[in-house]
Amino acid sequence: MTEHYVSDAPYDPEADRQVLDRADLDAATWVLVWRRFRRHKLGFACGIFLALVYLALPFVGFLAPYGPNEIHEDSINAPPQGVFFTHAGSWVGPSTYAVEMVPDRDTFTMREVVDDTKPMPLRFLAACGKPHEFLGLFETRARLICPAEGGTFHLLGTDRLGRDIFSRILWGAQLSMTVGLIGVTVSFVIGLVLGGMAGYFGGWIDATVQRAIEVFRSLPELPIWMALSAAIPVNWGPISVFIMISVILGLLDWPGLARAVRSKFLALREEDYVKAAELMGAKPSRIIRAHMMPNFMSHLIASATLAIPAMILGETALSFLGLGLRPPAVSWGMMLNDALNLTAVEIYPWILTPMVPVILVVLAFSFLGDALRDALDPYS
Amino acid sequence: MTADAPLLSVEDMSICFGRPGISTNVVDGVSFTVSPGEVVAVVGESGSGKTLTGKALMGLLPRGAGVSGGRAMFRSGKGGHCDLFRCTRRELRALRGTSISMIFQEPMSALSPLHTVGDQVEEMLRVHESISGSACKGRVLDMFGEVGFPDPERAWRAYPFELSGGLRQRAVIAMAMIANPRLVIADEPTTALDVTTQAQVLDLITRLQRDHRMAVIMITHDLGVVANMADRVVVMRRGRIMEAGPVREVLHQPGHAYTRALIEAAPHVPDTMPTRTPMPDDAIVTVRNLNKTYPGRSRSFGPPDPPVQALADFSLAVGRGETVAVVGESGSGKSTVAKLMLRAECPDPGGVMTFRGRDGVVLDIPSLKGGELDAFRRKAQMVFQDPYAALSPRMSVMDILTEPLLIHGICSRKERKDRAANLMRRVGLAPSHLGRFPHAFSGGQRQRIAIARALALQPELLVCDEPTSALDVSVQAEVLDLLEELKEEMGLSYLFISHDLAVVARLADRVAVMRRGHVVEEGPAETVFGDPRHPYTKALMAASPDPDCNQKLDLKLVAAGAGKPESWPEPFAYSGTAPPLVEVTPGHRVRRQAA
Repeated sequence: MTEHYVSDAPYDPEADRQVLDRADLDAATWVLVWRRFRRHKLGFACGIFLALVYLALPFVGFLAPYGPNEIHEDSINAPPQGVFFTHAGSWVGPSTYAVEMVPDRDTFTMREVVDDTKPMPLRFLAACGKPHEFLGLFETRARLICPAEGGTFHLLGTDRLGRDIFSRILWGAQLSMTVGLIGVTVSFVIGLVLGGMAGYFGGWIDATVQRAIEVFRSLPELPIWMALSAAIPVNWGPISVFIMISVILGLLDWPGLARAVRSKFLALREEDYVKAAELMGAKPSRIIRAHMMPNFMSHLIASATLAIPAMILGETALSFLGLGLRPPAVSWGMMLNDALNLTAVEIYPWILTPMVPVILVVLAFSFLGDALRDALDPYS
Repeated sequence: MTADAPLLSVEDMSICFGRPGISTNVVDGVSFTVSPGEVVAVVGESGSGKTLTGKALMGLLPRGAGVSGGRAMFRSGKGGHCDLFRCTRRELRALRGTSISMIFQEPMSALSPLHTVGDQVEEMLRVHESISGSACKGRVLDMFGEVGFPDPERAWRAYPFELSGGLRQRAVIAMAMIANPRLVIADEPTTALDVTTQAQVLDLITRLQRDHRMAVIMITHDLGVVANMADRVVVMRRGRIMEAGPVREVLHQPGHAYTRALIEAAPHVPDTMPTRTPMPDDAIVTVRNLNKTYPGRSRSFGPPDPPVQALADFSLAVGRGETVAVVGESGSGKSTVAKLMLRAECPDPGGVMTFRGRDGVVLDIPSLKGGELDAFRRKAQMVFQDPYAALSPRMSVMDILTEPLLIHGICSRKERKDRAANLMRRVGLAPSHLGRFPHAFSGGQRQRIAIARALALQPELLVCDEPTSALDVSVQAEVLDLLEELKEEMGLSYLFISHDLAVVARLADRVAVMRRGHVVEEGPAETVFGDPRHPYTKALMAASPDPDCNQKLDLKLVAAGAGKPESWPEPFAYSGTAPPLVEVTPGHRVRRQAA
């Protein structure tokens, strides 16, 4: 190196002024958020999974082999039925064997006897079973999977009334998955209004809301849920009960969201661009609508995503205790209600399978929420 | 300068984010050497890679970044060499602290808030040397004395939050120095400090460097610091070295256009100021005897803290078409002036603050309401300090620029768009950028957009709150030029808030210097700069480093004026109530005891 080194690189300040500094960030915020979200492979996969599940909900009647409350007297507490592709060394396609439940005189339980002489191929896109309403438009017997004529198809076994657990899990998803959405909407509205008021006006409103939140947080959750659900009139229909349960879950969950809204409000009020809008003469309503809302809505969506699992678990817990939804409605929690009996769990462990979708959905929401939260600050 | 073998020689160093080969280098082919006992300054603007260079040498690169080429040969104690980029962790640990140590930019985050300063500095010794407790403490106390703690014993027991910013940085320096390293990497050690504190800390580093004969790599953006400290200088831009050499040659005969631009852009107080026209009688803003107190923090138990007086007996007039600068360090009340003048906050009752627009209507700012307030908002606008925070990330540039018009319901949709395009051209940006979002732009570009937004309503008064302190030096000069052009063209009046007298020197017509809520000196720019009377003003001027090797910092002047008001020389000293402003020459007023 020479004592005084001068590089021959050019320098043009005029061009510097026009050139984009961060060409990689040259897009609207939502595009940047989306790009960044896509990089979270797990969160992205969970998002797709949840989207598929929600899209499938209206078509459960078509997807499930049986109706939710269809009783099969011949196969009570039947274990999961295997699906075979070959029979005696030759390809037969997905098929089941006929199963007969016979009393076992030694153990005093029902024992399954599989007749593996004759394969019974499953039928796809066929008509079978009792008619179901397709999207509430018309009745049809068309189904994605049908057991063979005269055969059965209990993929995950049946419960103590001989109802197909696999079909009931699909049907139960309708209520179990929507309870979270309705609950979060309720808590979102309450949280947004109360938290926003507390954050914007401050003073005694803030103090009151804060104290109310602290009181709510100190209440033991489960007894309150139970008391409130017990107060739902017995003669209400299953749908009304379902909505009430969602609302109850939402009513008890708003403090977390209200706090998030309040703290975001307080933080945003101090931002220079909000001050700039104030000094431009913008009215409070405009400041909230045009400057604060877009900047905190995304954060709230992430918070809400993380709140949905709590709702789903809440519904499951209530129904498990027999205080949530009532038959003939089906939900995952109600199915697990059968598992209250320890002996039954020991002998028929497959009645616990509704736990699997609960775990999957709750995990998916958590991963999705985490990925969203991380993607929401895409400027670095 | 020692001509013997270099202590550290960096050869062809490259740093990249991501995997080598597929990503572009953010530092590319950088080579320099550091001899024992030499100060090498690495100077550059943001994005130049100067900080990464320093961090790479310490093995502190952020996650995702890695050295992709080159080597850094460090001569270790026994005469052997070792490559800092290929050391094992254990070897690196042994070097850190004892042979190479680092002084960080932000002293508050470089010190742990849960441990006393003494403990933290002592840890450095305990890790590297087997030394008894009392001997250890003795050495730390000696070091504290050396870095200028007035009471080393007290500093030993103090927690970082109990110390002022300057003392905290002294503690960080003590920590870096305690194990007698042969090379210290100082990463912008004074950027977070006030100007007067900066001068004292720079002086301390120079003194320590001489006394201990250690080498220093000084990473900085400030050529003034370079001129005062360095033996040799490396100018970096976008990860490459633009120019390197002895500091005198580089600063006085710069070879590269970029270095020339940097030197030209560096703010400095000129020796002679042009005489400006006296203040016109037509004042756009008149402030008299204004006070602002903030209530003290309330405590859960016991009485609240006493109220804080942010502004005391403040009087100022801004003439139409004039630029009035309010200068002061942090806590001087200068930003409070801006907030009050734009009615972001209300002053204490009493005092006068009126705005007189071009239409001749006099508005009493503190009592404005409704339509009058709207009218006032149209005429007075603000440019904020941090261009990254001042623009909403969810709005496109078009939305940002048309918003003020939309709020006041001025002109049609089409006209608004035309105006936005004109504004962009006016601040030197292409109108084709209108559809883009703020995060794609650099700090300087964003500040231009922020200025365009402030101008959208065609105001008469623009309050600029440190509009360039977050920007690079070369960009700062451009933005100041732009502000000056706009003033001429649109007949604006400026209230310019700054912590830096040198920045203000080039555009202010009148200057008010503030300290702890009081104006200590006020007058036309040429008299304040040409004939400063108050010790604090003198200190501020002396503390601002010039990019000129022949003008070193005058620390006597800094020390005389930087302290508390009690320590100022007569007749300026006071304790308790401040003396009045006394007019020394026409229009030039100084706060001092009446003769």
